[in-house]
Amino acid sequence: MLKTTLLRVAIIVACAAGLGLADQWRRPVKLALDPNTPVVPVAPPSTTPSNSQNTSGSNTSATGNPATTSNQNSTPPANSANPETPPKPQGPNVTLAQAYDFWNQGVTFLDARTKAEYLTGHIRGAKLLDPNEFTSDESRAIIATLHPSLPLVIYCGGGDCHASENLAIFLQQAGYQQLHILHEGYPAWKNAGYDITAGEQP
Amino acid sequence: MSNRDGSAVGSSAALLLVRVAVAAAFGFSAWQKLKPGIPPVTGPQTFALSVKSYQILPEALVSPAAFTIAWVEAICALLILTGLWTRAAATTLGLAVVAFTLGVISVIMRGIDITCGCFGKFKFICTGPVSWCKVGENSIFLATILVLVMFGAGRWALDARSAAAPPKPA
Repeated sequence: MLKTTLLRVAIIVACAAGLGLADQWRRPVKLALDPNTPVVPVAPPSTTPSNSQNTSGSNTSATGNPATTSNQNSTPPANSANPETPPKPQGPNVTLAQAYDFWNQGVTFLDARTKAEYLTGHIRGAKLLDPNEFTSDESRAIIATLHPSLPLVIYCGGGDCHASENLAIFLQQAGYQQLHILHEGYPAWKNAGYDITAGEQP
Repeated sequence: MSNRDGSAVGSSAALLLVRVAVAAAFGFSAWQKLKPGIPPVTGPQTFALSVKSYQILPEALVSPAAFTIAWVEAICALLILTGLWTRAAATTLGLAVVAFTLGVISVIMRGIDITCGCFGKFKFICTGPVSWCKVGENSIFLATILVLVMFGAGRWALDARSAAAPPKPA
């Protein structure tokens, strides 16, 4: 009986592997596992981003620092936001100092941690966008405020947390182009003594 | 009805209950991993990122592994529900759960801060990042699955029908 069972186990696994490969092959959008990987953009979950990230004078980051530009076009905002001191991140990852420069320029920060962690404390001005809740109404409302061509800085709990990378992949697939990840995360920001706040308000 | 028949009916009913519970849990888990979702957040995409976050498999194997795991769960759930090849399906799931648990222990030992991704965004017992709670939760699943490995599907199953079928004439 053991021999029969093991043979059947092998058949089940082989069938699953075959179906899995076929399923993977037939899916129109290939899986993205790295924020650096070029992906086929798919429609974002929200219909029309409202450009409110950096538009028409109403744009002050929650830091209280007004953004220095109000462009609604596709000009690279990482460089146009403050031409005098443009941060030049290598790839999607930014250092704490580069992230702080972005923050001073009014670039939007996204907190990819859970809501509970966000409420306990977050970078002042950062919006909560948990990748596990990416398609929720709350998240859609936040995504609708982000312009696809403007820079975004994403962070999570630092160390080995993957939420920021996962969020970057989702946003990249949704058409967002200038995504920067602060791998050191919230702990490093907090330890550096930079501005933080707690509660629901960014 | 004799005592022996009554006992057999009782144990078959218990086994049917266990089969339905295991099939429901792993069928739901498979659906969470395979569902189309709302792009870009599809079931396979989310689960593949979860598999990657364990930092055990090389990146080239992450996507095939994610799809294979999901389909193993789906096939085993269907087999267990119908009672066909029950012991084999339960053994496969048991081995999978053992592998998942070793992965969880590895993550805990390395201090990696991840969420499980086992049932999509739904949680059964444990919430938050992967912890020893998840090992306990998996142990409960494993114990339930072992019941099927040891006792089979009971009389209300396709296995019982095929076992009771008269031998073909020579």
